[in-house]
Amino acid sequence: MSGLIEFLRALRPAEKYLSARSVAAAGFVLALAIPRFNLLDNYLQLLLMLIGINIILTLSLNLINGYMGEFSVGHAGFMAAGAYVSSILSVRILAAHSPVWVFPCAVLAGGLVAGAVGLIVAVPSFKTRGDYLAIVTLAFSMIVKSVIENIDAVGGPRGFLGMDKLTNLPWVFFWVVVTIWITRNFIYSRFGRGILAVREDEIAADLTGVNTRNVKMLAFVVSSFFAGIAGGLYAHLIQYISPGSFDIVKSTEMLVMVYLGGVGSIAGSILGAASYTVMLEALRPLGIWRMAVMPLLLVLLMIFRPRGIMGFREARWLVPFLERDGGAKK
Amino acid sequence: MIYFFQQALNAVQLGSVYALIALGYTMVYGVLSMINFAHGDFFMVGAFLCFVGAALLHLPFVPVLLLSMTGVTLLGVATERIAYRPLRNAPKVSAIITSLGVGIFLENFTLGLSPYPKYIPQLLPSFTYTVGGVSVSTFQLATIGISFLLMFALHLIVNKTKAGLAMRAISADRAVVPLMGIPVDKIIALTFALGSGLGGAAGVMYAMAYPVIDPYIGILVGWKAFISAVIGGIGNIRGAVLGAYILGMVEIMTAAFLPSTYRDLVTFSLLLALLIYRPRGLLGRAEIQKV
Amino acid sequence: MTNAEISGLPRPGAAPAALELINVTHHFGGLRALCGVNFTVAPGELAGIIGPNGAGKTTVFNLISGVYKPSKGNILFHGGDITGLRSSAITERGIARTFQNIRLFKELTVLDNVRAAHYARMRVNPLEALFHSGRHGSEEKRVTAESRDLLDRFGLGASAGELSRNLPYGLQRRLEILRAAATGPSLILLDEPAAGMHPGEVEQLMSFILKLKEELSLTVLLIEHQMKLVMGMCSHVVVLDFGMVIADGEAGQVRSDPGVRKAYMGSAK
Repeated sequence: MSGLIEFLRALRPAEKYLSARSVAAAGFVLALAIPRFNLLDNYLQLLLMLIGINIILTLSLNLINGYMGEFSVGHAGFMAAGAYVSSILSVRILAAHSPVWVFPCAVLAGGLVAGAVGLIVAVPSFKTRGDYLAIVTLAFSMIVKSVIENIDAVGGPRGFLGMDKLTNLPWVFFWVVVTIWITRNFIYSRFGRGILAVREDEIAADLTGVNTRNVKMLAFVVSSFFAGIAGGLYAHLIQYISPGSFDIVKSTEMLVMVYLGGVGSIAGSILGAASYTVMLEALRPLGIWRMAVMPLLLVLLMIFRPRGIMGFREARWLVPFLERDGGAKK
Repeated sequence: MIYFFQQALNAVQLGSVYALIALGYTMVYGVLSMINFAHGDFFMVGAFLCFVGAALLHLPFVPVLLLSMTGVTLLGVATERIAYRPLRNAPKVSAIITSLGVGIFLENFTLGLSPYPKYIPQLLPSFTYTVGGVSVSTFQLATIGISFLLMFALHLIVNKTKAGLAMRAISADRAVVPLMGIPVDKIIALTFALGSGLGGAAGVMYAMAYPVIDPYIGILVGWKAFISAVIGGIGNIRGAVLGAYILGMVEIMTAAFLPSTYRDLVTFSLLLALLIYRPRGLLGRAEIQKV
Repeated sequence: MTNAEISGLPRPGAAPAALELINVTHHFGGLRALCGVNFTVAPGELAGIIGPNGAGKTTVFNLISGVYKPSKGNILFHGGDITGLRSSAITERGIARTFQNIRLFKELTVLDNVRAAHYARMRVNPLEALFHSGRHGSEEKRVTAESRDLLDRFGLGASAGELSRNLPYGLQRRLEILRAAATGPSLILLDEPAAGMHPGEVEQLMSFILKLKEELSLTVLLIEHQMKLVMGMCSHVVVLDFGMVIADGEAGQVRSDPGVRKAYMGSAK
């Protein structure tokens, strides 16, 4: 983890030469080259893919918890929806046909279904906030879990398998870029300022003409869409999913990544997801005790650095040109 | 009909366990406006202390109960002091996340100590009385009787003592209470102590009824208890007890008349519906928005 | 229909009032906050509401701006009924307001506070926003330019990039008024704009409000405790006491009203 932070720090001076586009292009070349020429061993490739999936999840949750200031602790539910829908599609329906385009379609469909589910969860958020909304989202994720456990056709509590290992580095990277791009576009837009206004003061937002219901719905749909995408990628990477894969511990992991990297920051989300994933791997020798370190870390973070490493700050190259310097440039 | 009464008795037993835990949630919410998500895991620690007392130290029932209650009380007070007090003036979200973290820490820490489920030896001689066709076991009698006793004791503390008055004052308006010379820190610690102690007792009751325990029992049972508190209107002590018995009834009756896997589904859907239509619970008061 | 309601309705042929409250009553639980309030504000007017603490002044604002629904009665805006609409819909129709305790978007920049207020008037749909299409770009440019222009014209241009919570108190008040103005209203409600200001600042604020009113051709309704501000600026004053209108008319006329002197001036001299 410290190595990673060092690395990112070393990039600082070079940042002014960076643009989102050049970073994306270079990354994509790498993502294609690494598996093609076996530049990294399988374990490191798996780790990179997990980091990518976690970046998507972290951005997804950050949209709700960081930018909109609402409080979701049930994001694993959206992830489950995406994972199950895409897996069922790829195993039951699409596998017989051409395999090349099956996978992106299945993942996309998982994301869309998760997005639709997000729309339902947005409705209680019109009336409730803070801890009560936390309960609603948690109850929602428990319901998702419980529903899956009661559907025998998808294996019930035993889980679901049979997916091919279709997730690879280029696809993960592609979706990471899409997630970052769309999230950034959203934040720096009419609706993005709307959700920021909701975070700062919902009543004042309503009274300055922000249609708070619409922006909340949009935020929940976008957020749950990406959580669903991450679920689909995860399912086709691990090739086994069960209701237990998407429990409260998974949601808590996402919270750790958001609050580690920084609320309300894309760069922070990337940093949080990457450092958490790497750290969890580094702690593997601890065995069972490893999972006791993660929550301890979360508690320490909350006490000593509640906004995370990058809280409310953004890496310059991720900010749209018009908005640099807080949009204050003429 | 006898089947129904039998189930109703089971519901009262389950409701009593929920009520003891729900009181902890609701009392802490009352004084701190904070959901202590770790409370379900306090309950789990209580069940494990019951294992320590009964299986390792071979203590009889009453000392085991006292051991669990004392141990969990200390845990609750320590958690408040170490993890929650530094965050008292931080945004609410920080406190909620911290409590989630404490809970998961307790689960995984216990898992590290005890990777396999534990079996609790029988603590009370097992008799079954039959009254009008309904059979009542000594466990059920002990659970229901002790719960009522503890709830009555809590009622006395909250309503008849000076500390209880201070507790109610803090829950009405925390900002002005220090101005009246009430030691807020001490009262909050006392609230945690009482709530956790009840949670520890619930752990013992639960372990007697379901003698195989693992570190994750606190999640689901804790959630059910928490839902009870929400149904009654969180922060409201009588509401928590009412909600617990309602929930116990709903759960047992769902399991009795529907496939048992539907139980959680029904419970959580009930919670969602309630939160949408009556967000402040059955006995909670609606807030007037201040502008 | 009661007499009060009939007399409150616009006469045929007359231009509708900018704002008209007809027999507005509001209860909080069992507590009666407002009882049969009637008054009108003419287009282009600068009107003030005064009254002792707890008279129901802010409740009037909350009812007009849709924070609460009145228990009884109607509120008309340029002749159209807006009773019970959602706050954001009322703002969209052209009523903006400020708050007694400043409620800025604290962690946003000054510029973004103003840009956020353009929400209702931006023609960008979610897909255009998510994919940053051409129309998104042109609307962003327009809104940014307009916001900047507003800030420049009213003395906040230099702080556009600052976080609004870092502004000094007086500027926060102004920013809140500008944020309201940026929603494109025809009527603006100011809730104690001069609260907590010393006399010199009040003078400046008065000219600020007058300039804003002139340049954006607004109708203004304000609540104020400081008599100097109300009597110095408002052509039309409504006096509330215990949830009822006890006087309504020109400033000078209201000042000499014996009922008003007894209820309000008596304590304030």
